[in-house]
Amino acid sequence: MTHPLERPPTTVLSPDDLGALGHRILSFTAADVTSLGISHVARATVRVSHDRLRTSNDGDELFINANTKFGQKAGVWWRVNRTDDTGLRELVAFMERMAREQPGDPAPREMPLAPRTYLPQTVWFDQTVDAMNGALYDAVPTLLEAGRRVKLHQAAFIGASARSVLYLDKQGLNIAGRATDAELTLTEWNRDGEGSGWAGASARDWRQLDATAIADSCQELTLRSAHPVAFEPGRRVAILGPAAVVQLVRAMAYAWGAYETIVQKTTPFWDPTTRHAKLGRRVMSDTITITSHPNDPDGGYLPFFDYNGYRGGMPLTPMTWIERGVLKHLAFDPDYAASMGVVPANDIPFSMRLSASDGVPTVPLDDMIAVCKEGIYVNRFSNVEVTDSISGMMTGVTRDGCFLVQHGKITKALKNFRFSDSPFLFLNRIEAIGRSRRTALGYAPPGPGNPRSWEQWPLEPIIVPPLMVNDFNFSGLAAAV
Amino acid sequence: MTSSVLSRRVLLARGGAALGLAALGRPVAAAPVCRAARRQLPLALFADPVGAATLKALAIDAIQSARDAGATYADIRIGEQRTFSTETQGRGYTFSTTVGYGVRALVDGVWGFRHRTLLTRDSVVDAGRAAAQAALRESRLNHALGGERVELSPTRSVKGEWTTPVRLDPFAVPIDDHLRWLDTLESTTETLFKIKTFCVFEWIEETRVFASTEDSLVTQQFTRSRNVAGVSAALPDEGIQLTLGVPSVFPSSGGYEVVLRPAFVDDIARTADRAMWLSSIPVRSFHDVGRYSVVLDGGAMATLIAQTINQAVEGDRVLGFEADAAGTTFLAPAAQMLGRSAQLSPLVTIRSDWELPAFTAAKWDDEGVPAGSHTLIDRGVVTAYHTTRETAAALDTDVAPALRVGRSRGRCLVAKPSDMPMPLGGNVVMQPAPTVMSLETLCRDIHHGFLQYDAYITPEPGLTMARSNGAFLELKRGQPVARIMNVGLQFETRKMLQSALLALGDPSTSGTRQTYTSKGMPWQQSMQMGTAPAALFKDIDLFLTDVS
Repeated sequence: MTHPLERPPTTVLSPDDLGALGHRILSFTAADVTSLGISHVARATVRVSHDRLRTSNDGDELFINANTKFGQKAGVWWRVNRTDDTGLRELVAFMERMAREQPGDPAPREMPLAPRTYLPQTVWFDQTVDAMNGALYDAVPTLLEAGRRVKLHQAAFIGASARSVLYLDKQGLNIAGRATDAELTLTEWNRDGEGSGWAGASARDWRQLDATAIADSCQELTLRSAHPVAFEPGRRVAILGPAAVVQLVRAMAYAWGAYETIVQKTTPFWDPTTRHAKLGRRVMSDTITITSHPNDPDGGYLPFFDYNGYRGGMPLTPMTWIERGVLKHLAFDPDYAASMGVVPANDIPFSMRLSASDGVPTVPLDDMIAVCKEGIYVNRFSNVEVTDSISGMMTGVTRDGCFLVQHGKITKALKNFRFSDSPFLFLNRIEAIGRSRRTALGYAPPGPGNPRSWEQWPLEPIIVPPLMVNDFNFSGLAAAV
Repeated sequence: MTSSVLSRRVLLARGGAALGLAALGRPVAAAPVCRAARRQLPLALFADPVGAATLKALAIDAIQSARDAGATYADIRIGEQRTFSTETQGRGYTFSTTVGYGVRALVDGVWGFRHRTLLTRDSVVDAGRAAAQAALRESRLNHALGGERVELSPTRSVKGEWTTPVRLDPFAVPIDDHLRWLDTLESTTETLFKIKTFCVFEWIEETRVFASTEDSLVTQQFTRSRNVAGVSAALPDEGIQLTLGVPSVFPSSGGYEVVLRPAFVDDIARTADRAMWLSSIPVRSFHDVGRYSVVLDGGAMATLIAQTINQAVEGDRVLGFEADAAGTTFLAPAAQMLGRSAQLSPLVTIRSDWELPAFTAAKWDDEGVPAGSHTLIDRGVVTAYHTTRETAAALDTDVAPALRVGRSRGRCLVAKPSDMPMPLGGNVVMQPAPTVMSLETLCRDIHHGFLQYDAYITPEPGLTMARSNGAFLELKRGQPVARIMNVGLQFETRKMLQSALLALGDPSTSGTRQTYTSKGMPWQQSMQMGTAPAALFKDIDLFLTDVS
């Protein structure tokens, strides 16, 4: 019989395949509790570096994460990616021996008795899987053509992935899901190396990516960014394009962690004066609403806790995190939610949608520039990191497009800045907000405080608008990155 | 900076950690921490481990398959790894046993790469063929683009084996002894100082095979530990903790003996004592941002070196290959750097070290090139980059003939066999001052400045940033007067290690720290190590981290 993994590497295992593997493992065990989280990821990527197509990076990986537990004893965690019966039997038997001899769990956690109902899944597209075996490569010439005509240096990334996941235990948990995602990004430089531009797009469905539009946008930014001049740092009006905003939103997601807020008291949503979380209080401009929904048409996510830890597979529900600037909910994992009597439990928000509150008019980016007397337009930030989790202070650098705006027009390209500011403060200083859309992250490795599921490419979707912000703190000039 | 540091003798006299310390009095190899045989770790978590012989056979099949499919060059990294980790808090432990491989094929100057986890002959053969087919398809595209071709610097084919020397196999130590030793370490500080110690000990055994179509076949068996330990003291301020790393506990190569070193308990006690001392210094908010003299202790400097210079000399950054991802570097272009005028202070000498007991210790890198050690920065002058065979060849075309190195420096490193190979430093060591220069001496003449113990430092993007961990002291006339929680340091790496660097500490001030960095697209994360002495700087920017 052909092994289920013996197939083209860019094909992901089906939930049925994972189910067969999971039930096979469960059949080997006599433990009271054996929780399994099995995922299989396939991806196909192409990278262009410094004007040359350097490599593809295709493949697939299987992960089996498990917890074996007897009664009230502490569990044993184990991880394996082999699938042969003999090896798995031996491993399961060994883990059971270890688990039987564990001491009592100092903090036993009972499974919450909430009904397990799941929203439909809307994040799988066959066309993305098809692209992994063809269209992905066809996009390369389209993406590069415009910049090549004007002799720009280029780097590009084209990638697509498909992932299947299963959470299974002997107590009745059995939920599987699958998701696809794709991303195109393009970076270009002028020949003198002084000006650069970046554009990109991400989507669950490959067909939504428009390589020509990305190429045109990047070329325009790059040509405009020629001959940048140094400009005095300081607090200025900032017009932040979606690619800049998305990096900030990604870095601020940690703040919704209920445990981090209420127990550790290390997020901006803890009020040390009242000694309570700021639930029900206005924490940012009333023009802003932040939500997440598994079926968001611009992103979405699997409707269950999807990480290889305790409680993987528990249902997730649509959430409103901020409504008209008011903090409505924190992210309680199932255990902490049960202990606090909070419903529903939810993960740290991903597929966050930051958007204009109902009734607030959105302003296109060009109009933000048109009404700006003096300010700085930032196309993108990179290397964004939280420097103080309590205030949410972040630092990072502008990259690939930074311009001076004067009297309603872009007048000069600027050299890069470092910024130091907190979105939990500057989101109170919103001057204008645009229309939200899923925005590509490009290079976005994990940093401190990022949600646990945000480690590997592709990251969960983030849907953001361009923003016009007063008194944004450009704290210093940055050397080229 | 002095605190009332306890000596090991004092600790013994106070009766702490009797079990562990008693063990330390005996030769390590004969030092069972717990005499009763308890739960044993199996020598292999599978009754039927894959084993080196099978891995080698699969590796040969994979590269033959790539060659048959048209690859002019192909290589493979294939391995199996098992880990066992324990930690003080929670008494939990975790096991893992994983396999994986990545096949790389070169066709007409373009790479194809295929990684997988299924270890069957059919699968590896398919991966080799697929890598070559992908390279062929992409080479046609690259040709149409007029892109340059990948060339490889020459290297000798190698065949051989290497094993990390181990005195006490961590997988042969009973689990209860692992746990009891952690209890001992934890109780050392809880009993004496009422302060928490956290230790995470992770043991790794890995068999990794490298094979190439140039007839190289290398098997390396690594035993490593990814250990960390620190002490944390809760502070009166809500939500704020003071955390210090224990200097002698860091990831390294070797067996269980690395955690039975006498310095281990000494250092934990000393670090706890320092944390107590620091927590007794009054906290105040600081608002006079500006430029000040700053002393970084060995731990902070080690992190700084690992996050800045270590990455600035990566060959792919120098060549611009990372321009859309991790970034470029101020130490480029090569023709204006290698062996030319000093880019950094003459105090700065840094070497890349893959000798034992470094975590990355290996005989060959992940391209079968001899590893070893070499100098990267010699008294401020760049003398080498972290290179692979590809980056060495590309850099050679950039520099004058007299400066050409011609061959890879042996710095191809992957965190796991299925990762894409790239140039990484792994472990860098900064040379301390040859004369006596303690931390106190470095601080002595500071009229108004700061001292930072440990730090979180962002990776090199030209202008970088250090964040306090609660151990940032305001100094007046060389003495600590307050602990500052609300500032960070901001600096341009070149200036910081050039004109701003005034003095380095002696070897007694050195610290070693690990950092996790990413590069590539899709990014791959890897652990990087740094060792450095304390250092005194002038004119470092302070910025506020708590208000906007």
